Amino acid sequence: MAVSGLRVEVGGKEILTGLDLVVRPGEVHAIMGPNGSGKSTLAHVLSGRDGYVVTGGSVSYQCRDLLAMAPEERARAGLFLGFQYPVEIPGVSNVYLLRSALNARRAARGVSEIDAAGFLRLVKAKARLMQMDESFLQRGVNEGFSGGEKKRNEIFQMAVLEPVLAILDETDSGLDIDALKVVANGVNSLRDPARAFVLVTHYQRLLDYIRPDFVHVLAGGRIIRTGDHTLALELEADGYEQILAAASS
Amino acid sequence: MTGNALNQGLEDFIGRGYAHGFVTDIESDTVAPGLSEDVIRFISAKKGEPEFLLAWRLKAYRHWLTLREPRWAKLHHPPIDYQAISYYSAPRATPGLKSIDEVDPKLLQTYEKLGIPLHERARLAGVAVDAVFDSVSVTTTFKDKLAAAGVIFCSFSEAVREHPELVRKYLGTVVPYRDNYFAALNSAVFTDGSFVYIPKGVRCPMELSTYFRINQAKTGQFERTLIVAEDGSHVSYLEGCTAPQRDENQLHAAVVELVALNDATIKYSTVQNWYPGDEEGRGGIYNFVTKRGDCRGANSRISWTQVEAGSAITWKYPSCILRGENSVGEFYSVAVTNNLQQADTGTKMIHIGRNTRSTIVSKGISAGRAQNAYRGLVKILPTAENARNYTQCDSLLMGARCGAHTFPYMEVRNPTAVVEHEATTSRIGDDQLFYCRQRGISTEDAVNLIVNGFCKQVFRQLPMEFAVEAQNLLNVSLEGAVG
Amino acid sequence: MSQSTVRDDPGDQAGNRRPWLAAAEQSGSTASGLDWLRERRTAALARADRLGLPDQSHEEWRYTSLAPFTRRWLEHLAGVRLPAAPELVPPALAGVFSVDIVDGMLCAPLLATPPGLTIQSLQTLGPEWRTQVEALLGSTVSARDDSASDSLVDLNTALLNDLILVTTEPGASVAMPIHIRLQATAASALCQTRLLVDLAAGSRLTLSLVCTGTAGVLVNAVAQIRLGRDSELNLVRVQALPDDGMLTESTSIEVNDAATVTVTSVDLGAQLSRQSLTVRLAGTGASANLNGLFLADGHRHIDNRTTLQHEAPSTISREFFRGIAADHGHGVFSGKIIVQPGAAGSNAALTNRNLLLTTTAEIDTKPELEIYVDDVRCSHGATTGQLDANALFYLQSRGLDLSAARQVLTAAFLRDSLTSIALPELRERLEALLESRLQAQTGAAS
Repeated sequence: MAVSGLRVEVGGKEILTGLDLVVRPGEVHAIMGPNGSGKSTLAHVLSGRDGYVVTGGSVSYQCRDLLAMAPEERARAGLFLGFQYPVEIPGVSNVYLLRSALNARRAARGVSEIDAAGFLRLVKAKARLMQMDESFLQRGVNEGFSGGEKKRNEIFQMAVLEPVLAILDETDSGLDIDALKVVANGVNSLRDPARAFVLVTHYQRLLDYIRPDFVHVLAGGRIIRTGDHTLALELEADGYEQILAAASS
Repeated sequence: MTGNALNQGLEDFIGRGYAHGFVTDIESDTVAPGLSEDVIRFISAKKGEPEFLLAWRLKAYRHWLTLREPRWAKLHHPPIDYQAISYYSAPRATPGLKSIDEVDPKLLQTYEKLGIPLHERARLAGVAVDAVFDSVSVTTTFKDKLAAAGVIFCSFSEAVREHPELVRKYLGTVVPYRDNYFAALNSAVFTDGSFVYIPKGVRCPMELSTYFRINQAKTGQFERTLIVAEDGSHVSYLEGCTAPQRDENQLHAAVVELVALNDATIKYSTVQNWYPGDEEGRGGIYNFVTKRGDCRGANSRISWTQVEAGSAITWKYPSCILRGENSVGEFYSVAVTNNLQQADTGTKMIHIGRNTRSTIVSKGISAGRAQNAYRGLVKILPTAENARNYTQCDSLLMGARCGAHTFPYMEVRNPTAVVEHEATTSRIGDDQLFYCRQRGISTEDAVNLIVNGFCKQVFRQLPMEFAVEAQNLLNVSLEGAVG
Repeated sequence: MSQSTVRDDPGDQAGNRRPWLAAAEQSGSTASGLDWLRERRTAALARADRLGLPDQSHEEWRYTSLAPFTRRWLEHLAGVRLPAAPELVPPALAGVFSVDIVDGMLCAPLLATPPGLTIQSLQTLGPEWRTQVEALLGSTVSARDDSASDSLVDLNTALLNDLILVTTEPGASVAMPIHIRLQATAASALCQTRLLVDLAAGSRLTLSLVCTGTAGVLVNAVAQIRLGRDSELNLVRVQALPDDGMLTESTSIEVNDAATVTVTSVDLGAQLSRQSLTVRLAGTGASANLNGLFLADGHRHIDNRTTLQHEAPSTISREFFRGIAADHGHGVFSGKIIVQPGAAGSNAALTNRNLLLTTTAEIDTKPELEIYVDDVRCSHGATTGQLDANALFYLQSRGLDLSAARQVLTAAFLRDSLTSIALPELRERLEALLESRLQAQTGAAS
């Protein structure tokens, strides 16, 4: 995926002001930044959410114009968004949603629907990976889940859907240390030369468990600094202000 | 007589019009349109009914004459001309179709979407079924099994002939002919329906369903059903089917009476998919139904589940009279309206006995230019110590031109009772839709998924195979609702 | 779900007996006053005569019969009066601007009204006010099926002796609360009070109305209130009529763009009281907060009907109504929310909680939603029952006896309804009064 010069407005206010980012297969990118720097906007624009107006720049994904694709087309092409605030969908069971999603992706690739037994084996295996109780599978999507359970459910869905590019929006926020490890293990086990991750996060904490190839600092709607995982440590030690000050001087 | 010749004869007959007066032609299959005491005598004579039933019909008719059509429901329709309806038409073979190739392909498409098995499609479309599906043998098998258990399950007419003492004992004891306008009309002119009697201590060995009672297909207009569950018995009854049912009779006014004695349980499930009229609201059935269950015995339980998808107008409030101590009433409903359909439906829970409990779960979905209203009454009488009611009533709106309305009445006269009501109205959340689409699911599928999730609490109450069909029915009914 | 047969005894049908004609004749009201008003009054009388008083065959009058009201009106007209009883004097409050209205008439000329505010009566009303007054008089718009109640407004128009007009200047923030004391005496057969309130754009006002009276009074009160854009009104309405008083009350409030109205309604008196309160959210971003409380003890019949009509986009309403019925009391609450087709983005929530304390009391409640547009979030919840058993147990485990625990919880229940009253002294008095009344109840129940 290549993002170049991306400018995005929300409600008439420019949030992204010319953002560049290249993500290649197998890479793990962390995007860090203070509150209001545009991190979540980036995640939403890439996944195709309404309400964001692209005023400039482009995003190409697998040699296609990502911004021209409907959200479900992006998903079927392997793009996954782990939501910061996963919504509840009462009455729709987790497995039912996943099966519909998986079959929609398979249909788009011209593969036949997965059979019931095979599907069940798959979700059970992935649920074990995420240390999720099997009862979660039959419960309504995120219905009555705690904050931590919702986040874990996002990673579980990612594991089942096996995306090409996964964007995880503040997946670490609101997790206690045990849940954080489970989530990190889930991500690590899915690392693959053909799969890329973009981790959007405010804190360095998650990066103790998932070592990124690149760390980007997002501020004022653009990436102001890029480095390896040591940049995250530097941020943790010095805070955002110093880096912002250094970048603006 | 061939089909065409019969039709011709019928047209001539009707063509004579009401002005020519009523002709007491006991040999004919149909009476001229119009309602009078003579017509009622004719129906009763035609069916060979005992005197008590004729007397009851006439009392109902005389009472009906003193009533006015109810106006309180949130429904609009042109006035119904009760003298333009023919009140008796004997069941007879449908003329017409010889094979499934002659059936309207649009109808067959709908069957496919509903997932109705191939062998049933022909029967539903009105093709002579015997060649395709051996209904006689099925009927015989299940009749033997029921007879062995002592269960009586037959048409209402048969019950009047074979078990007049039971009919006399229970008919009109739950829905008296004085109850309301449409119940009075039904009491005067009903032609047939179902009768079920479960003896003491018997758990009915199978789900009873009108599906098996093929002969009933043409008697839907003024149907009358009576189910009696003796002490400690248990029965589950299914009415209707998910396939679209076309009927030339515009007015339907059925009555259903349930009686549950000590420790008895009756579960009554309905899927209603009568013709709703076209996109412009032309045609369609007016469905004015009175359904009521009487929990007469201690620890008895009556549970209503309904999926209302058809009819131009639906007016029905399946109710429970909770008379016996510790008795339980339940009402689970999904009502879907699209295009110009109107529904005013809900329930009444009348708590009389101590420790009586009731639960109401209503899900209304309104699309197009339809109007969908929940109307329910929970009444706690001073005798109903420790009564409990919980009501949940949710509406989903699809489109800017439809309406969803909630009219719950709660009348409480006992300080130990607790009555709770909650209602919400909203549309499908943008965030829910986006979440599904981000997982790769198309907007249309996402809407179906979310709507079915919205109705899950109700579908869960239906027998398994019915639940799947009901889900499909919902999707078909809402087709084109989201542009 | 009423039956199609007419339930009311025909003898109770007020329409056949038409006390208003006698009343109009006695007072000569339609023949007096300002010319332009006279025409309107004659028309109103004709309309009321055609409609008659509402009876129980009207859905919105299902639980309340006006037959005793009409009967007493006829008796009063015939000269029958109940013996004089000690007057319930409305509270005098410090730090407020008090206005006394007796039998619908402004008692004394008002001196030194607070800056930014004018208060006038029919006597002082100059011709320059005509347009404003006419607009307000005609501002009651029936909710779809509410036309049966219109005759009460028409009767008031036809038979009133005076009307009170309260207006603010644009942008004025009236610091001092206005405290209107409506007193009804047995001097009039049926006391008509008429209040018009017009808040100019950007102005702010706190207004309290306390209604009291002498034994056996009948009151038909009408208030019509308009909020200009960005204005704010905090309205408190207290019904404290004597135990044998009867009241019908129709209030309509029109809320324009970005204006906010907060209403606190308290019923603690009367034998028969019926309030119909309609709030029209007529301008974009308008909002309404309603808090209500009634205590139907003794033999009271208290009926509150509220209608929140969302007519414009992004309008918000919040309503919380509480009721207590004890002894032989009968409490009725109907709360309707209507969202009209143009009101996209509206948000409405209504909660109704009722406590039923005795087997001889009754509470009938009917929260309603009528929604005609899909882009909305609306909800209502209603419960009728007793005090929470867990909470009672908790307090008992802390050493309170059952009756004390009941009192604590019941007091908390009603205090929550009064927090929106912006006049601290009035709020405290109401709290004290209600608590002492409830003490008798919960003490008796244990």
